[in-house]
Amino acid sequence: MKPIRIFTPVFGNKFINLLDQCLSKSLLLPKNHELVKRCKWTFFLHPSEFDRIMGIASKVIPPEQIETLEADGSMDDLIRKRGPLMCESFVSVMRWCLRDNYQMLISTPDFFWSDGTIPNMQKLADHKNVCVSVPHIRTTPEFLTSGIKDTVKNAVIHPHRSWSMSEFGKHTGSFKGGILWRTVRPGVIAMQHRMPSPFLLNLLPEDTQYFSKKEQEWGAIDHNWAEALMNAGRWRYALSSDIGFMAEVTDVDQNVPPSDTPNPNIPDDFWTQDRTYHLIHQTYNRQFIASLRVGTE
Amino acid sequence: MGSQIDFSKFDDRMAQFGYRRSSLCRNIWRHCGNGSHLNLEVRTMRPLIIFSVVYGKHIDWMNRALVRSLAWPENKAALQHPNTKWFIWGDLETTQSIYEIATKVLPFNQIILKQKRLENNKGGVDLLGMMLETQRHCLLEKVPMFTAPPDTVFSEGSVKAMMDYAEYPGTCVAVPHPRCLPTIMDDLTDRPPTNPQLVNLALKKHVHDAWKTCDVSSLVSGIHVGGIAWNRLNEHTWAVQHRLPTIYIANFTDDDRKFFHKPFKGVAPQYGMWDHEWPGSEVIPKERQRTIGSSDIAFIAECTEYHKNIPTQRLTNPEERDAFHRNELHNHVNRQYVSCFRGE
Repeated sequence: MKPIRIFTPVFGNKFINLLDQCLSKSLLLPKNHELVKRCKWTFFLHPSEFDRIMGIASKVIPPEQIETLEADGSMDDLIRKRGPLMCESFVSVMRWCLRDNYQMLISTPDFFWSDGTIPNMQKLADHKNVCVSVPHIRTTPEFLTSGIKDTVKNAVIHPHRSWSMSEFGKHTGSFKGGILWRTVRPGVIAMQHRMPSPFLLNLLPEDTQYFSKKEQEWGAIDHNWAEALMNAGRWRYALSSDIGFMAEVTDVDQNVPPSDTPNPNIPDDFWTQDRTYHLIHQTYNRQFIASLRVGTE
Repeated sequence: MGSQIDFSKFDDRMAQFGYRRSSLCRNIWRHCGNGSHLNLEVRTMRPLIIFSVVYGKHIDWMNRALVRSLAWPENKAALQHPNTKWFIWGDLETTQSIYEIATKVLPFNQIILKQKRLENNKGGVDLLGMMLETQRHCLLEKVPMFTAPPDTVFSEGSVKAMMDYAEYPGTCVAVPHPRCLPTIMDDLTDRPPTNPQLVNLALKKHVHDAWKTCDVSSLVSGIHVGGIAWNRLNEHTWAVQHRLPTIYIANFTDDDRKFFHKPFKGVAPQYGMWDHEWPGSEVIPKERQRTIGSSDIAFIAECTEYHKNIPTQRLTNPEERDAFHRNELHNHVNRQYVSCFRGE
């Protein structure tokens, strides 16, 4: 199996705190850490925050495995132009991965991987050129107060509105948010997700070209790039939290999809459906149902 | 949706299984009995036409595999709609025994035995004819068809889970399933195993060579021919790619009817098109497939004699260990989703 380079863009207090309280804690979970301690960890950061970030990261892996890519200019510039700059740094780290024959694990500070997710993703990514996704949902910052076990359970008991608005029967957020879920039996949730994001990547040179286009931004990873992966047969989406799961800690007032009355005849309808050029990954993802199992750890 | 329902009969039927209609919502039933299903809610299900073909040894298998599992409480409750019918295709000589077996799931008046003598060497064509006749009724009555092979075990709760996703026009519910040895039937009783217990039975105790040969880590495997590739993540968990998961519940369209009447790429229509061609032509491109990718939602195992359906093995291509000999659209799409079979 190829070695992994973890890529984490992080700047500003809020995300440095999340790096400490969220991502690092999940990387330290025993099964994850068994693999992570052998990875390289590359940060895109502002030089003024170098010491704080190194202090946190070196609690997870030895400092000699940590690399940084530093943003030029002021912190204000970085925050203002974060979309294109993060994309630029992503391309740079892609090139390093291609040069060194590494896989890349995209891991922003607000991600909390359930234990075992990273090694399981590595097993699924042990095929040429494939990029792996696992079920992921948003959860509120309260999630961080609930301990490090039972990630799925903690994520759903601190539901972000993007999740609570997506329960079948009262799914006013599904049309724009792209998630629809229902409880199948106690402890088992069935979920459709139109745009799961690829996380563990086996890269090709053309991927750097894709993200080097002038108009490309960071958000293209799940919004557009997944389509190219799927057309090329490179997509692998694990359909169970028993394989992998990620909770994305999100402020209560952010990323809340606009509300729409559900269509009773097409409950999993999505706003891009009637577009002439709807995206193929949204079309295919709709047709697969993943399970989230509460109490898996 | 569907035909008019006589709710008084329906309430009686549900009461037989221990359900009472919720006072809050007319189409929700709550289980009021004792045991493990106390919290179960059953929504009103649409009527179905169940499609089974039962000849020879499969009469016994129908009794010990299919009917055993469909008679488990949650599965049985999910089928209790007064307008549900069960089309069972079989021989004239076996009528009595088939009725005796099938009435463990549905009342006598909902079972429709269809007589057809099989013609030698035309299995796929005979089956297609039976399916088309059943499909015709489904289109006429605007109800979905539930394919229920006699050799198949549906885990408890699977029928309802599939029906949840088959409630809407055109949707077709697929579930990737493994084969297992017929000896599994000796371990099935009236008390349903949990889904992880059934996974254990199918993939550990009664594992079939068709499954064993599809390990992606093997140097030699049946993946290229069989279309299944699995990766054992730990003792109890398998990550599974299945290139052609079977559609078990189908809401047909008129295009489906036309599809099964004409040759595909020059080959005369036959029943094998169900798995091998139809999903890639009519189902996935039209966003109609709903594939349940987790044994915790639904798990299905197909009893297969130990020496049958074992894919030819060949050296695994290390560059592409999940390669399959065909690449129709549904093979291409299904490859990219990894299901989970979880034992315990």
